[in-house]
Amino acid sequence: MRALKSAKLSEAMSETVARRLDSARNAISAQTAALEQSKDWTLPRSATARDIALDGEVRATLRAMAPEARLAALNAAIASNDAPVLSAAFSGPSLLIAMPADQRNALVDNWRKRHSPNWARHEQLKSAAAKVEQAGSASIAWLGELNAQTGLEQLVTKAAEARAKAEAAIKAA
Amino acid sequence: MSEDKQVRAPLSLHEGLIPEVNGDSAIAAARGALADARHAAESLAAAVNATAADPC
Repeated sequence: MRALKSAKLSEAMSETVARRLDSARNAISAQTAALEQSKDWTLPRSATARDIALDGEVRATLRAMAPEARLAALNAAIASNDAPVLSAAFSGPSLLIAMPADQRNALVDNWRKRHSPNWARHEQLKSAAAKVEQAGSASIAWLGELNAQTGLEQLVTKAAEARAKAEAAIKAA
Repeated sequence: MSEDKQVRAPLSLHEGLIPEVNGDSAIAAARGALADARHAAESLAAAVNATAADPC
């Protein structure tokens, strides 16, 4: 019966899509997490007491600047990969340099784009993750639409009921 | 079933949407998942179209 074959394929597709896309999602997440922990992804951080004290002074200087001058100073620091300035600006809350968090996050992305050899790979993984999510949503929507149009879900239920009845009859015989 | 009413697999189920990256297992897994999902959707679409053309 062709309709029943369609119903079975619909069930199989649901399972395949859920299982394979989940597994791809996990693989991408694991690779992304590993990459984000790599040295190349991590922003410069002050390690010595002297440098940490300097961070405070740099932040105070940045806070005192007009927003345009602050942005220009940070862009210049990113361009020259000026570790003491970047460490001060990018550690702690963005409030410490009087800058909205989203603006500072954009600067962090700029730094990675320019200085991290992993940026391109990170972008590829991010894009692949988005495609996988899109495929998952599209599959669910497509199957839902198909089920509504063709009544495949009802066929699956009816077939399961018929199978259960047949098994019960065999047992009773 | 007329040509324009044929059921087709969703366009977003295509491994070509994720560019191949040599030696990247996560990208390969994502491409493989989309390819499998596309095959499953194409088989289902073919079965649904065949059923619509000849319900028996």
